[in-house]
Amino acid sequence: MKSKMIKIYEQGPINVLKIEESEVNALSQDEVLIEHSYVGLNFIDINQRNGTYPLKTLPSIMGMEGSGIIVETGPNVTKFKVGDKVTHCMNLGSYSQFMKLNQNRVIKLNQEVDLKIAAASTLQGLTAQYLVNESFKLEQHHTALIHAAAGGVGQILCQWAKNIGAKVIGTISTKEKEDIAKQNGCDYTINYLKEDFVKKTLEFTSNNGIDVIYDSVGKDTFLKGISCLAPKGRIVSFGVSSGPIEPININKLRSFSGSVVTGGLNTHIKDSDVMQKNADIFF
Amino acid sequence: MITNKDIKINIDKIYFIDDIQEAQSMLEKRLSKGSIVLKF
Repeated sequence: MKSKMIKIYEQGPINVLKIEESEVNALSQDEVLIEHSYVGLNFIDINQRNGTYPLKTLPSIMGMEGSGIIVETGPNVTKFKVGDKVTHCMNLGSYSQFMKLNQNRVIKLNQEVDLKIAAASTLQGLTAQYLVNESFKLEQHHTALIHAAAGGVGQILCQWAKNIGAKVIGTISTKEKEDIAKQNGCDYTINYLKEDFVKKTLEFTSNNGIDVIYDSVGKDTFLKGISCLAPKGRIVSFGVSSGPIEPININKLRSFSGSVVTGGLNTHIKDSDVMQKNADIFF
Repeated sequence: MITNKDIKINIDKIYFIDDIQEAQSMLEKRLSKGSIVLKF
């Protein structure tokens, strides 16, 4: 059986992405074969392609998220059967028509879940889940600043934070994205190209500062963000779309008991049962 | 917008897998207004 795939032989600009076809190898005992219906695109794909994030091996099939149907199972597979609807994320190689995965890296979906929605939101939904429940336990009385509020994770995060009852401030770059952020639950938006987000955040919080910043932008926003944290405030860094973050001087946090937490989805979904449970919350 | 439990997922664009370069370019330039999905 042949599988179409997107491969890179070296990290670099967009033209390093190559379309190829190759044979699917036999499954090992604990693996399932997924025929992808849809693949989700995420900023991690860009960072892996352009070299911001290292790759262990090259050439490599790209992609970190996909949804589809189980078409074959290895002899020791107990969790899935042929025909099951599934999704997965943080497994390099999803830009492929067929993908072999250990059964413990796959999430079972209910039959009614749309595979398009699953491919668009497994990684983002699981990310939003750990951000609001584990990296900083967001509660009704908190105020949250969400950078890139109109982005993929941003839109889900804004809705989740609003559902909790928190006050939500989102940064955006255009009027169109401002409308999207507000539709997704932002109480206030800040156009970071026109306004100083630190100054505006302090203004929106009556100079009390912000309880948590969810930051996927990195270089352009992370260090500045410290200046608008409330006492015991926290910055959760879960991405670096503008580039890597400069080293931080911890003394800048001490006077107000501030904290910094990093987030990586892999750590939060390492346990297969936890991953399935967290996905069930979302789907 | 499509409802998925309490969270609405906004798929901005669905590309064919062959159009991967265009799809990644849209994401990299932050031109997308929601999720981007590839299909086979």
